Amino acid sequence: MSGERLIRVLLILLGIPAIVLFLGAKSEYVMGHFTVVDSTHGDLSKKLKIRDFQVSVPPSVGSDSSYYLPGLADADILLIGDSFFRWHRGGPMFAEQLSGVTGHHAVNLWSPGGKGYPQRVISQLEGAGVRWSDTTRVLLVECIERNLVRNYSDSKYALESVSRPDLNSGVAENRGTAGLVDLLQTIRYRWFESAELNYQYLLQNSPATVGMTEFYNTMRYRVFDIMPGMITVYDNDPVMLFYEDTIDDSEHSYFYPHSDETVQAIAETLEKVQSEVLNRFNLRLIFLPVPNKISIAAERVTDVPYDMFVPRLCAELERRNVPTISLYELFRSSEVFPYHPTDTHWNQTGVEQALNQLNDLMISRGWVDGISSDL
Amino acid sequence: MLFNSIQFLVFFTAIVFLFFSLPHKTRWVLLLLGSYYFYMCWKVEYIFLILLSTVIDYIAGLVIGATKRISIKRIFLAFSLITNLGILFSFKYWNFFSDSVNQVAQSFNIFHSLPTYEILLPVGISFYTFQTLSYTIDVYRGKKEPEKHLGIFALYVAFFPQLVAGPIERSTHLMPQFHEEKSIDPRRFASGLRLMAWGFFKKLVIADRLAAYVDTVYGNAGDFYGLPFWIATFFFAFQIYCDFSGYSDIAIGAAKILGYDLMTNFRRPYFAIDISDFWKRWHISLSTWFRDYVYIPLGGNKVRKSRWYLNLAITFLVSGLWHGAAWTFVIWGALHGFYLIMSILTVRLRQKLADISRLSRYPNFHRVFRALITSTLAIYAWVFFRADGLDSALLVTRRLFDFSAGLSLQGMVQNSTDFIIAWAAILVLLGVDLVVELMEKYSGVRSFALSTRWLAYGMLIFSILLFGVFNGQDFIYFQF
Repeated sequence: MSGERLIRVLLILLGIPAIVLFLGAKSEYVMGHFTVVDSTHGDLSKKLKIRDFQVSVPPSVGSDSSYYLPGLADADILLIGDSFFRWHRGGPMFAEQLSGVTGHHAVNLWSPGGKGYPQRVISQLEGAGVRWSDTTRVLLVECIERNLVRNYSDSKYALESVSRPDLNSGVAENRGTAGLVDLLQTIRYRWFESAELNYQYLLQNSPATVGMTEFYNTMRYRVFDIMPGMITVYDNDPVMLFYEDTIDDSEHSYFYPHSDETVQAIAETLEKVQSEVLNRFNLRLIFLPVPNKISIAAERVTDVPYDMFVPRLCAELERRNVPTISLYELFRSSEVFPYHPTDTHWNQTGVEQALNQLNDLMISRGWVDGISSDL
Repeated sequence: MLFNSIQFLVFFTAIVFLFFSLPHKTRWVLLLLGSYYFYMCWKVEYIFLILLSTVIDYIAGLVIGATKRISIKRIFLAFSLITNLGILFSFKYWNFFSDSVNQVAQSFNIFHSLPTYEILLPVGISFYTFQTLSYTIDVYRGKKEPEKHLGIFALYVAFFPQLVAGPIERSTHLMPQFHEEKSIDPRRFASGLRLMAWGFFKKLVIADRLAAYVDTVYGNAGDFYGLPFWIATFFFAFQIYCDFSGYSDIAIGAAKILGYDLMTNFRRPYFAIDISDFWKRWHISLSTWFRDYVYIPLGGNKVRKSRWYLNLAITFLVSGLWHGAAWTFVIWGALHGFYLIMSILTVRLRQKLADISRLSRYPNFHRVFRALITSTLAIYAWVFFRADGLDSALLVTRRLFDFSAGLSLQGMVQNSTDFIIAWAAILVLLGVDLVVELMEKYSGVRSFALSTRWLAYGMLIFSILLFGVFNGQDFIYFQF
């Protein structure tokens, strides 16, 4: 066979699958039917695909697209948070557990997820249709430590109102093509912005390639101690993985220098949020900053001491009379580590400790009648 | 779309297959749409900037080529220059300009400040702007007939392999190739794939590995002393070389597979024997652009000596500013201009020193010595290129000579295996570069045996798969 003919054959053998893959990775149908979601391992472990780090975790409940809010009108406690509120491994979702503990209806407002979607407290309340109520209710705002600076170091996100399409763009694909804006955003998201993510997802989760990916990653790790770039900090005795955002050189990072000015700025924004939600919606704010996993287990992977960002922020918020759930000391002294070892999120121990604190705080303030103190 | 992504591998394979399946007359459509898709994967809206540049320069080229009136030619050339440079200035330099003016104003107690904007810099804007400008200027100078086919012209502006980080092509070189019919050529395929593999090795195994060490040290400059700065600066020199020349290799290789030749952009710059030689080996497409469109129009070296030095200084200052809207880049350019002028001024002195020390009796050793000196100067200049700001660059300069922490690499090296791989990869690169340099110098050595070559290719691919850093890191030069 001549060189030219050989190349033609190779081009057909590779080119047609490439076109199929190119188009297929843009299709929700193909992605859904040709991938198998790994529900038995933590989110970091799923990304890593190294056998040594595959620790089983309980199945996940909840999702990113819980957009419709049954019972919102009757809710006594409204929740705004990130993925710590949107799903949970090891028990019912946080809102459900909170309802069970307090005996009051708690509803988690849908909030956009992902790196490009900061918390917009006022917009999210408006977007969910929350109105002034004569009965004072509680608003619990949760935020993971790594996003505190981005979300609250100035008030542009927390206090602003944004248009609905902007707010919802992250889930355009989940809600069909309701209008031209959604359609364009879906095309933009699927065909351009997330194209690479789709290929990676396909490679990692397609039954045809998952074994190969696992073998390749495991071999690189075992022979040369090389981890895939996204996760660079880990401990293998016992196994523990840390989210890449918390160890990079950005404002999300453990190593970011959180100055007193930053702490003050965040506290000031939250103080404004507290006043705004009370005046506009008759909601009493409770703030729940969840420490990064690495802040609780820093000594396992770095000599750099924790700058006590969350405790400092909690103290400042208390000083400003913004009710705050302070979890750092509690998590540090916990007998059971409050996070899943190979997942970014807290486990049931972490949730229960947060619920306990929350319960105590609400009882002490007398905000919600009939709260059970028995967890 | 990054070259070092699954997306690109799928996209490129599909493009090559379709390209050779389509008739010649329609191939430009595929390449143009593919190029626009390639660009839109970064930010969809910014495709309008490319379309705007394309339309303006297409019309300007046609009018300049059609009219005989010099005044009209000048008007349309000015129109093209002002629009293209205006877009570039607005997106890339406005904030820098505004900050600088505000600082000067404040020092005179004037507190009316110019606004700054949070704008995402369009990827590759400096590259495609310079490419389109060269076309209009060449048409104005009569070196190039205006391109009448809008599609072909648009493809020249947006050809995906070199769209976002060069090589900055000339219309006289690239545009005629789009009119030629291309067929499958096994030798070009082999050569293109080889170049791409070598480019991927440089980017994934070397540049992205070194980046972690460089970022750690330069990102926390206050925490390190002495040795880590030497290593990080040395690593950065190779990071940027491998990052950028790796991109060029992949671009040239990809274009070669499709049947197009792009210009050589790097020729082993750290083997340069003086700064002038360095710039004949580093980012050749840019340095020749500045030579042809800035330095020579300023008078080049055909003027008084003082004016010649001024021309060199201006060219290097502008070159520094091209790289980034910050004073660190201006200083980097100025430093290179200074090196070059000093090397011209000291030619005789250096020759005398070589004679006195008898270095000139051993030309190969002398060459190595000169290459070491030149590389050291170039590497030091990278401090300004990499540092986060002027203060940081000066801090690094001070800390380079501060060994109060001994020779500790604590905080810099987390994984010793990876650190060893980094050094080994640099040695491999230097070894390969040396072989190529010698092959070029001594034309007797043309090639290796087939088995040796296949072994080398196999090891290259194996190394990429085994030691590659696959974290989708951007190429450094995208920001320019």
